[in-house]
Amino acid sequence: MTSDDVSLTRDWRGSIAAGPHLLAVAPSIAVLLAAADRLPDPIALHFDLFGTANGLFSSRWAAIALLAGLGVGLALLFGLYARQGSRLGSPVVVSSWDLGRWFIGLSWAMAGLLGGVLFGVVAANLDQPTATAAALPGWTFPLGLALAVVAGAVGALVAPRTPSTASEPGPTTPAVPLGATEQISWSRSVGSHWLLVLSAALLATGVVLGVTANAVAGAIVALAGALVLLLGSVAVTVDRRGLTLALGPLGWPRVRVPAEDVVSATVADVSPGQFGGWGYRIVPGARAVIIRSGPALVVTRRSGQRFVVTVDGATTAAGLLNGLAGTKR
Amino acid sequence: MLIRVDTARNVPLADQIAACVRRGIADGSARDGDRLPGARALAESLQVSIHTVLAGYQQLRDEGLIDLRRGRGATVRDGAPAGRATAIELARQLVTTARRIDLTDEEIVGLVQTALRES
Repeated sequence: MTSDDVSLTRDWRGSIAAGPHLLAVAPSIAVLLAAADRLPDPIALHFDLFGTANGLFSSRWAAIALLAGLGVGLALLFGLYARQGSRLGSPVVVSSWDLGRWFIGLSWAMAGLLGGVLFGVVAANLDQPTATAAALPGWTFPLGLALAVVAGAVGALVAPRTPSTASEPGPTTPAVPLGATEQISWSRSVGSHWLLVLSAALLATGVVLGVTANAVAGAIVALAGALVLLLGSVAVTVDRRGLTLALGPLGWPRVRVPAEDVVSATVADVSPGQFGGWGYRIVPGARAVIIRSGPALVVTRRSGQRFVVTVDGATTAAGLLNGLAGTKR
Repeated sequence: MLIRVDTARNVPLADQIAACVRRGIADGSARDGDRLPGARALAESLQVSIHTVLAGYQQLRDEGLIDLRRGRGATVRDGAPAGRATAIELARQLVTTARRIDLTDEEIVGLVQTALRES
């Protein structure tokens, strides 16, 4: 593949993931625009479980703006995320699943569900004297689910495939030769300022929430903050024992890949999109600690599973692991 | 930063550790304020005694390359220039090479003084 092909696929991916969300809100907006004389003012936009209008009454124009904003917002969210996942020159295959394709399928399914439900919500208001009289038609959720299934399947079919034949992530980094009596220790820390800021914000919010509003809710938010703090930095060590990851400011918990378990190691560019986000990720075929996007150490284990950690200077680490794997055999 | 020690080499392990850190500072893989691996963790990692690691770190502190503080561990001293680490490393290599050909300490100092006069 040339770089032009790759950037083309990248732009395509974003548009393919984003498109259906714009389409999904279009029928509802069209009804709101075209059938003004058949709608009450305000109209009902929220219904309880039994389909009775129970809140969020809004003027027709506000509803149009809300739906348009929802469509554009979701399109941007899914589009940018899909682009991010494929922003790499040569995407490293870390998972036995084509996650990029599944993501587009998911995006289309979401759009289908949303489109069906929103259309039902707008249709419920048609020919009603007042918003409170509106009742959600019984076909709303079946329609949404059917659209979700069909759109999801079509999305997964039209999505560009990531070449999965390249089962090797890249050429194995040349082994650093190690003497029989030699001991080595390579270490490097990697942290994300954004994750630290997020963690501090969550902890502070949790404390404030716990004191002023609800202790349980506060504790949950603070716990989330603590988890983000744990996964906001990692110290990576390569020595005779293998690869060791010490998470968070306390260096605990630890993740270890024993030297005996290492078949080969290499360096590759990865992005959080490939793993569904930041932190400790488990995807089919791989486990990963993702702190940022960019260069990462990719270790292939005896089981064929990959272990990925985003770290700078990973070439040395990969070379050492290959040197260790060589001396062990 | 990569630290390699070899028990088969005829150089004390503490010196080998210090030399690796010096090279790390010289080549920029350890920068101002960077934290060095904790002494205990590094000792476990290299399978050497913690006293060996501390002896290596103290050597670096005496050379003005790192700070050792209780609780904070070892950090590369602010303004410890890469050039200084390079010069110290070269001086050590000079001594090692000169000793190998049985130069006396006075002769080594003499070499340096000659070099100073002529530069």
